[in-house]
Amino acid sequence: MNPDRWRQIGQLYHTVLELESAARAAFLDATCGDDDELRREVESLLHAHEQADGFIAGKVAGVVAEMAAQQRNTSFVGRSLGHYQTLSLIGAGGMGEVYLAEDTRLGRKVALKLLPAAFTQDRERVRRFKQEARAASSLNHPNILTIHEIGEASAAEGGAHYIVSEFVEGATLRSMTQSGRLDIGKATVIAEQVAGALSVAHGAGIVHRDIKPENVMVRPDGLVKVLDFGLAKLTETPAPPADTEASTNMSTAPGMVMGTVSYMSPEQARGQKVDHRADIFSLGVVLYEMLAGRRPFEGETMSDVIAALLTAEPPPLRQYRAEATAELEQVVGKCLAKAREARYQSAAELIVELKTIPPGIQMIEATTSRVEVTMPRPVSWRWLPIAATALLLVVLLVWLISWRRSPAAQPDQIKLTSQEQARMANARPINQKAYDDYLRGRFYANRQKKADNETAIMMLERSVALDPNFAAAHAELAQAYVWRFFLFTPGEKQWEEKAFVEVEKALALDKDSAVAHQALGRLLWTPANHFPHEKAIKEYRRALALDPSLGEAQNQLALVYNHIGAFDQALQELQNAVTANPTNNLAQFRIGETLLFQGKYEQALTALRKSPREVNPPLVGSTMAMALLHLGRRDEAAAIIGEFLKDYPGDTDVGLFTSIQALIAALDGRENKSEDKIRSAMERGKGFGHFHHTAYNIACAYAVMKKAEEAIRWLQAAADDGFPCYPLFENDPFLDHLRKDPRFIALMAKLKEQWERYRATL
Amino acid sequence: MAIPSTREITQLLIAWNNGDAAALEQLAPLVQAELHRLAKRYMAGERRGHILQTTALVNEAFLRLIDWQKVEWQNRSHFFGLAAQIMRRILVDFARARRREKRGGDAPLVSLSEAAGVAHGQNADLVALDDALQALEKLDRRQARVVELRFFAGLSLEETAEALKVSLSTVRRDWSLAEAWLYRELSKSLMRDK
Repeated sequence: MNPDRWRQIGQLYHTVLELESAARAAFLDATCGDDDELRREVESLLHAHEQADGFIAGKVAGVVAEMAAQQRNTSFVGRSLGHYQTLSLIGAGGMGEVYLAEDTRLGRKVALKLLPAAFTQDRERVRRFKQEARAASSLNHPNILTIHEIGEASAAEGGAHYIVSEFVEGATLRSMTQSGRLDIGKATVIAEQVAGALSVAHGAGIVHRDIKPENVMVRPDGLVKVLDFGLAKLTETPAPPADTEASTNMSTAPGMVMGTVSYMSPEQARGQKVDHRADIFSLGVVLYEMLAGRRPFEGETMSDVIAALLTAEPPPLRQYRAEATAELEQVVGKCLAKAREARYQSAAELIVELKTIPPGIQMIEATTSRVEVTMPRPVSWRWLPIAATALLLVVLLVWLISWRRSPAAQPDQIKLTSQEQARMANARPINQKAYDDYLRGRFYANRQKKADNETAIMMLERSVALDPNFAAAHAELAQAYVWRFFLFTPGEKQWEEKAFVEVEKALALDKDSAVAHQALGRLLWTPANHFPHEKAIKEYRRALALDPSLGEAQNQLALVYNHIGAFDQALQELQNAVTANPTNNLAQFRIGETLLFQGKYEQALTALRKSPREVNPPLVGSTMAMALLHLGRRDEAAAIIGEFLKDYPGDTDVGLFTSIQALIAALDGRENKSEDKIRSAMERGKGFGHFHHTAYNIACAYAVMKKAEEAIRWLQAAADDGFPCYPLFENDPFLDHLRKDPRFIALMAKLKEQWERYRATL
Repeated sequence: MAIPSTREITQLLIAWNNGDAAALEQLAPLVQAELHRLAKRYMAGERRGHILQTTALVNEAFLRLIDWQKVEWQNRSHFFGLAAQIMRRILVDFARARRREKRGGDAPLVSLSEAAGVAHGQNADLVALDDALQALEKLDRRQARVVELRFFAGLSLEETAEALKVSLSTVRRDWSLAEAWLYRELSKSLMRDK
């Protein structure tokens, strides 16, 4: 081929390209005549044109990446830094290389990130970074990566700065999005967890500033960890004074981290001062990318991207994701508002909205009237017939709105999930009186006091008597019975039977009753049933899948998690519960309990002090007493116990409190008294309707008294009786005297195995 | 090797532009070193095939290396044209060397490219792309330049038009045809290799 021929081909190519495809063949027939080669050339180019989009870019980028990767041969693997020995390179990003390393002092695997020297020259910046990274890590949020140490190698070792953190097995969100779009459910759950991490960080005055898929790890069990809090402190350029023209020339700004331009908020791109709402924008970009498989603001050059994010509206999600609903568009769009005042004003607000998005949404075609028949459209509540489920929804939604700070939210903006829509379709007329009783009963059903429980049972029994087909009331009644026998009258078997009957009625009337599944979870999880943790988890998850806002199911799920030592999962559930509903006092309390089990005694105490005692006085009291004991504050612990025994002399929890008294006596060195209390604890009943916590406290008392055989026996009993809390046993200082005992070692090996099995299946 | 100042690098670039071929020999390793450093920071974990990476990389490499204050703004696109040629040369040399290494058989796959999510096939492809681009140069030099500027210097269509001093619609047309042609040629060479 020669240039002239090529010009001829080119001209024809452009002309044909502008024709409708139907007209092309005729045009080519007419133009090419007998010149078959010309025609073949043009046609093959047109065919290539259709497929070529973006392919060259991929090749260039791929080679650049490989070139970068090759450089890493001169890496740090096998070297030691302080008491860390690097084992392998697990990643490299804008802020340095990350190694899998072993902490040789504690024998644990950690992740060690080496910071590039370029970012650690300025001592002041390093100081600010350290301060913020530590502050974020100390928030102890399950979705925030825990930092163990921020260190500096000796001059002999090269003087590098490094960060040692927990080693998270999993994939970065980047690698997940590389293999395609994520399910809507998966994407929203990930976003929710990131928002959870942001929410607590923002609460502590920490802005991440660099939220992007590289900084989000997802473990195989789905738990999300947000990395690199504070790291932006090392790279950011100081914001210009407020009165200067903010739109600085980005392309020449020194120190700009260009790789993250795509996730920047407009205010960051302008070099303005940022606040927590910048993170909400960046999370919006990440969420959009997870759903659409592309970023909301794209461009071929960095300046194109910046221009787009400053001025352009992102293409609607549905363009890339047919099943994206209006509410999903709305949530993502609100995160991506240019003006930060128009975004969600807090990560907590975003979480609430994300929770309303159902995981799998069927495609709704807006145009056909046929669809209207089979699937009710979202409607304003005012137009609904009075129907049980509808009213239930209104209560829920009004509650949601009442604390969602946006005063602009109008009832007719409310969108219903498909689940809710489906239920509305099944709406039936109800008895107004029965409904009224149901609402009142429901209010009392989850308050963990005996008098409230009795009121709830009375109201709900009346409700189902008036309307025997009222599924929701049956479910709530089941839950109220569950509490009755579990918390208040464990000796009276009839409550358990009644609860089963009500669960069955509720599920027969509505197999998707979230509350019924929640009640069933609790009903299964009993001493008589040997606490089947997995079964209970399954029911609670089912309940939460049906109704993600069911705070009580979250509390229950976390409770089970705590018993099997899945503390991260527990904290995640609880933080979500508290974020979604700040008045969920039981969740608030359980955060304290989890921290206690994790050995974070000071923090546990702080958390427990925040949770109102009236949630469940014995529960809060005993947990607080244990935290105080661990802190060596025996007098205060003893005072709490004494007070409780005085206030509630006949309570079922006396046994538990007595076991704590046994532990206190053991710590005081008063062995006889301790033995007395142990005997009394055994006689005086089973705290909270079961015995394993009492058994555990007795084991601790014996361990403190160095009576290994008894201690191990009681520990075994606690584990067998539904409390196989391996990480607690492993770390509780009260058990330290047992640690060299072969029987203890054998028990722990068994429990560890079980714990790992739980972890693998959770 | 002492790191030359941005002033020296700028001088080298100007000298090369003025026809001093030896200046390129000095420039290439300097740019490559900077590129390595930046690539390490940006590429790992980034989405493969995303244009922004390459662009950002090239932009920043040159922003760092060259004292832009000393370069008249209207020359900037022109300098990116030079940058594109340097980038092309560096990347293709690298890809060619890697391909040889692999064909050599006994060379172990030492790179951790799996970690960066890179398919090894990319090297062969880039060499093929370079060959195809050379063939295109013989047919239409401007079309080849458009490809070079767009993908080795990361210029936008508008910037490419400015650098080549032609209209935007011309660049669009050149780009459309060149891309289709390269795609076709590469598909052919892929068939041959298999």
